[in-house]
Amino acid sequence: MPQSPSKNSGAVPESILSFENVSKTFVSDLDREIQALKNIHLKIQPGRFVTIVGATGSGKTTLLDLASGLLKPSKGCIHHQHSLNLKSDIAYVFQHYTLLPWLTVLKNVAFGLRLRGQSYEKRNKTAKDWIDKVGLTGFEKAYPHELSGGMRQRTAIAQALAVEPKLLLMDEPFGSLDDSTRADLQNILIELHQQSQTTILFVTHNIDEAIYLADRVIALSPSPGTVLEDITVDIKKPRNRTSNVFNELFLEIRNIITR
Amino acid sequence: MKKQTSKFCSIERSKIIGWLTVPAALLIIWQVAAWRLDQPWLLPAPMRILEQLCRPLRSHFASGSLLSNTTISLLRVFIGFLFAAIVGVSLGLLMGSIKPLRRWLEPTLEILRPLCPIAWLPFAIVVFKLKTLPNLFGIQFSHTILDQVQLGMIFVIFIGGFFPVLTNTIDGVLSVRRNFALLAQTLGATRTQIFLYIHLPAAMPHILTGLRQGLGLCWFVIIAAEMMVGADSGIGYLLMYAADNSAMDLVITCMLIIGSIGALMNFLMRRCLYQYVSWKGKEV
Repeated sequence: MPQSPSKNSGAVPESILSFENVSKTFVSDLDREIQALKNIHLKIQPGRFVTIVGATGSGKTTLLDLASGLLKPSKGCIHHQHSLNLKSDIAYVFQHYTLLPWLTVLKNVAFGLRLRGQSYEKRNKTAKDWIDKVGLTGFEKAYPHELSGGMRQRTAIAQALAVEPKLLLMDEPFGSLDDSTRADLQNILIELHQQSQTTILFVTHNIDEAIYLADRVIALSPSPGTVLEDITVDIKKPRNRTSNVFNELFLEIRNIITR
Repeated sequence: MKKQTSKFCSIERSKIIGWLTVPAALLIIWQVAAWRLDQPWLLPAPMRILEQLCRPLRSHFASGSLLSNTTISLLRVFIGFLFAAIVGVSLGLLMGSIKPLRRWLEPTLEILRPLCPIAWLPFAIVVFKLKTLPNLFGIQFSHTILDQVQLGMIFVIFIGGFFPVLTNTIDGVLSVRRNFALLAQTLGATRTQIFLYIHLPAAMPHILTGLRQGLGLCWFVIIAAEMMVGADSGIGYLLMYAADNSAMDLVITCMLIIGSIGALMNFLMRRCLYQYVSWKGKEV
């Protein structure tokens, strides 16, 4: 994969992930071409929490699949940081079927470490730490089908973070949760992000969630997805959803998306 | 915990009473019919069957006892089923994972599959003659029960068990949710790891269903095979021999034993295997 030589001076850190004029076209069963993403330019700085917001069909998931390397772009190119290993430095939390149903919570969280060949004791210790951090202590031996939706997503977050990824991709992970569970998990995620150096790319169709979580919100247009606006959110966390700044931003983004 | 046990017991007791009602009714009808008919060579009374069951070691017509013939049948089935399970699961996993192999083998297997395993018997007898398992290792007579395990029988049981195991295993591998493999892939799994940690456990419920069906079919096949010309031992053979000698009490005894063993196998397979795949159908 071609790597662009970094032209940045020391002041600006090298971006962990960059899209250069990326387009992605799928061919449907009926041989029709469907363009999911069009001319995407994007640079993600390391350690940032970036949300991508857009209506359904704006290619949000495609963007994550491209970032993870699961898909290749039809046009343009995607650069990852030199030191970033596509195999071991990226974790991906899907919207559905995020856990392996035949493994307990503990084994699910330790799964990534097991793939990396870590010893049984070591990976279980790390997994237990992460289970504590997401507030699931006592549920180590439970199976995914015995957990509530919120608990499953907590497990999925622990599973992804346990491998200490440099880049964490999340595809509407809280999409099917009720409001209060969703709020709990948003706070946990913010806290865990602040404790780590992980870069998070988080996809959602929920504008409130996008602003509440992110340092930077990228708004996509629907089919084909293009970047409409790139907004830096400069409000100190934890954020107050009822503040004026928050609400002004909310309206601004809503106007951009529904334009 | 204690409360749970007592609750468990009470459920079991009412269940057992439920299970026993129909057999008890049948037994009464049978007893009355046998008494009214009064022709034991056509319909012997239930007591006569119980009498037979109480003497499992008695030799019948120099063809062995109930116990020895049942043991021979079970041994044949287990050896044949073992081969079917090993070959069926391995080939199924390979065919499920490797598309060209599946395309290459599927047409042939689809033609062989609908063929009744018993139809293989004449062919198997010609090919394997009356060779037994010890013969395979150059031993003429091992003077054990293994002398009764003919390769032809094993082959027919293998055919019977092989196809359910194979098709279920292939289905199992093909029905693995793509997301599970993607999850492992994004966590950095190699192809081997995806196979071992995703495809194999995800396909396990199907594989176990295949094994259970396969074992059931093996038991079907062995009884039929033992009733064919050329057989000289086994519970199916004893049944046929008893019928030829108008010993209807022995015929019914054999039928009861065959049915009970089949049911027991099914029950044990469910019990032993299904506790490992309790997650199936509850994926979220």
